[in-house]
Amino acid sequence: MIQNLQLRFAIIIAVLLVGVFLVWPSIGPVPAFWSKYLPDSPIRLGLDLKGGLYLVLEVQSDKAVEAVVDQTVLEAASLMKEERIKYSDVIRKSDVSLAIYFKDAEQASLFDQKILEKLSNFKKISGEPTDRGFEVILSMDPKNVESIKHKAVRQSVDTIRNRVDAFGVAEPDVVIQGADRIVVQLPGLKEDVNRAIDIIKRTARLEFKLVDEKGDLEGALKGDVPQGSEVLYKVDRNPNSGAVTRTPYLIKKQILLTGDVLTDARVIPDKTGRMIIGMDFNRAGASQFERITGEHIRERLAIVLDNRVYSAPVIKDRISGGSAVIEGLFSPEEAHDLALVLRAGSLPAPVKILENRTIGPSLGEDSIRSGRNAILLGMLLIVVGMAVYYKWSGVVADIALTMNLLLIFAVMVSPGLRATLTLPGLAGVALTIGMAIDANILIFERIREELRMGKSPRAALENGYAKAFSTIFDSNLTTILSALPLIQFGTGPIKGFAVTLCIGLIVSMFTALFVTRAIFDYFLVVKRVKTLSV
Amino acid sequence: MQLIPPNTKIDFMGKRRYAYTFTALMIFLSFLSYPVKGPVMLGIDFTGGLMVQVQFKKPVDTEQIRQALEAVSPNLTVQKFSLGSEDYVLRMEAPEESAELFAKRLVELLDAKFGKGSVEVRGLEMVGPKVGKDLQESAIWATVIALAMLLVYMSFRFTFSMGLGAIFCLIHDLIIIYGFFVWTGKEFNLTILAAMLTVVGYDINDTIVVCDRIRENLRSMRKRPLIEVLNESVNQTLSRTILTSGFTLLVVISLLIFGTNVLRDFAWALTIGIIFGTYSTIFVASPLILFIDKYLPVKRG
Repeated sequence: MIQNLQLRFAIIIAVLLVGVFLVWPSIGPVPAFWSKYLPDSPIRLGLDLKGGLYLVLEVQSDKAVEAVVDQTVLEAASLMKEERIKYSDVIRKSDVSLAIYFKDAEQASLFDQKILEKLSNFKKISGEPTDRGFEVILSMDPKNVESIKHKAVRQSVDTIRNRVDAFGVAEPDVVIQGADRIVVQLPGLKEDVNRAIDIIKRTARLEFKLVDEKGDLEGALKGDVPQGSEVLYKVDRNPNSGAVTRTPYLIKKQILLTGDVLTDARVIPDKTGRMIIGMDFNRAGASQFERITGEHIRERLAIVLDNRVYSAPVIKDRISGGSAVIEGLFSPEEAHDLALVLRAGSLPAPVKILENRTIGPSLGEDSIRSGRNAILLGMLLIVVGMAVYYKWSGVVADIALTMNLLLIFAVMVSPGLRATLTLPGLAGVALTIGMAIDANILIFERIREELRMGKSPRAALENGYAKAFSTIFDSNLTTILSALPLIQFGTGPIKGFAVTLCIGLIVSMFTALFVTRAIFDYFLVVKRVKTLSV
Repeated sequence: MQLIPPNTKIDFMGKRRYAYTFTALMIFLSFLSYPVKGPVMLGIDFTGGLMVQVQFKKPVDTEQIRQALEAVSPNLTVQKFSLGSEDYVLRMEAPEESAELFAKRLVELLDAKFGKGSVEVRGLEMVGPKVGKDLQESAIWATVIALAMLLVYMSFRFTFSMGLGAIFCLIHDLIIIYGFFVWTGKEFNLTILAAMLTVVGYDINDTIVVCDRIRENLRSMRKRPLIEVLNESVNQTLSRTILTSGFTLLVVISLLIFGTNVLRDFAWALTIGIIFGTYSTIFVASPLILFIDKYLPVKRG
């Protein structure tokens, strides 16, 4: 019995030590030797306690599919020109299909032979004469549609991760939620929230396109846009007066080069002190750029970002070396942010903000203070109450309860779990204190009953623990059962609450049963105490 | 110290008609809230919308704030966050533009009215209507799944009649909390949902302790009628029921004292839940088990 008791106390002390080691860094300064051997990271605070930004974005992945169809429309047109197939029009028919109008069925079958297999994403679904000519409809396989959408979401996550890394937040979190949502959490974000959101949600699609020199801009503005071209605007805001001027351009839809080939983008002030952005291309991009500029000398090359023209300089000569600049009337912040998103890459589809929670740091501090005070007061009331009601036994329960509180935080900071403490989580801790004491109340009430029946202290203790066990087990398990759906369905803070509640209950099984029992046995067996103070 | 004297024999089961009446009355009052006060006020978590929390450097009143912002948001509601502070919560429909830009405009208008630098945005929450709908759905699922799991577990560990009795107790408590929120006009948001599920967890605890005793006594008092076994079991666990509820209430009350707005509503839901949970454990669960026993007799021995 004595040896067995020594072992039990060894376990308790070991657990206690581990708990203290884990929790200490969250409370006070850590000595140097400590961080060498042990995790010294303090408890991870949720957004609601630390302040920061929480965003739910929806990736408009339909747009990524549309972009692929648009791209194929252009590709089909240029392939047919190469093969000299006579067609009158190529258009996007729906989100996932396109239609080509041929002069006759013969030209259509020529297309089937020479071009169709090159448009690998598409299948021919119909071909019949109409009043616009012989119409062939190509449609994308639903499987391909899904994979494009899926890829768009995954790529968006990667890009956004790259972008938020630049904010210097300690633990940024960017994850996919469901099919097409992305949750972005930036606890402790110091920068201007507005600016951060702009950077995150910017599509940043950079394209090099030619200006349609032959087309009639005036006519296009009236609605008669030449086939294969579109009207895009250059928007200039005078940084001093704030006046906005919009200049229209007739731009060919064909994309010659995209921002995917960028290896770097940075802000460089030019001679007059204006901000311009210098970009470097990778090897493939550099040779493409050299070819493009060589083929189109004396034409204008438009630099288009998110469907806005930034500049359209005349190509004077073939440009080698693989670099280009974006000019515009940027403020230093705008230029810095633009270079940042260009470096991080573009989003394959636009994103929409579905949910936005911004918590200022001062609000978080208030919450921590109120949560801590509530826990301390609740704890104090219970500790005093138990000692008054159950005398020395109550004190034993109080020791277990204090250990419970310590261990909840220890489990939360333990390297394997790294749970996040939220405001509802603090409420969960407070509540667990109340529920953990229930186990001891059940045991003590049983012991009192057994003592009234005339049992000896040792027998009463034995029976009290034995009979209360199944009740305690059942009641804790059912509480955990009811908290599980919250972990499954709940968002950040609520999940935090359910997690702390579950941890607290599991820990209380150890402290309220194992720890108190060891203390009682010590007094009854070793100290040979004859009466139970309960 | 002894709150409930040993060998207390209160005839709870004999008084069950009063309990039925009181229970029916409470449920009726909860449902009456709907025709009188309308549906419960759902928070933006569930409806979608924009909520901005601002702090003023000097005392202002809600009407002044409303006037200052009338132009941009006619459906604005202004609520003082807590007594003794100049924190206010502004609620409105989610704007078309970015929420942050919108908040900036609000601050400009407030600055214009109350003087520059007089107001600080402390927090902002924007939930799109789609997300709100999704959350409503998952909230209902979370509750239904929790109740279903408990019913299965109770039937497995105890008897089906005890499971049904326990689940009815839970639904009874949830209805009353719901009624309380409608009558007081408090906002029902995700945190309150968490509180309700906590009450479910806490309450099932209470009921299980009694059921556990019933199960034990059914074995040791084979000759006695069920009604006496039930009475005896409730009496034997009465001291524990009252004590645990009391201690848990102490903690919840400290949340009421120190909590900020969100925590305080959470604590209110728990307070009501614990009080009525304790009531239903004593006065609703056992009579129900007796009632169900007429149709689904508990196997004895």
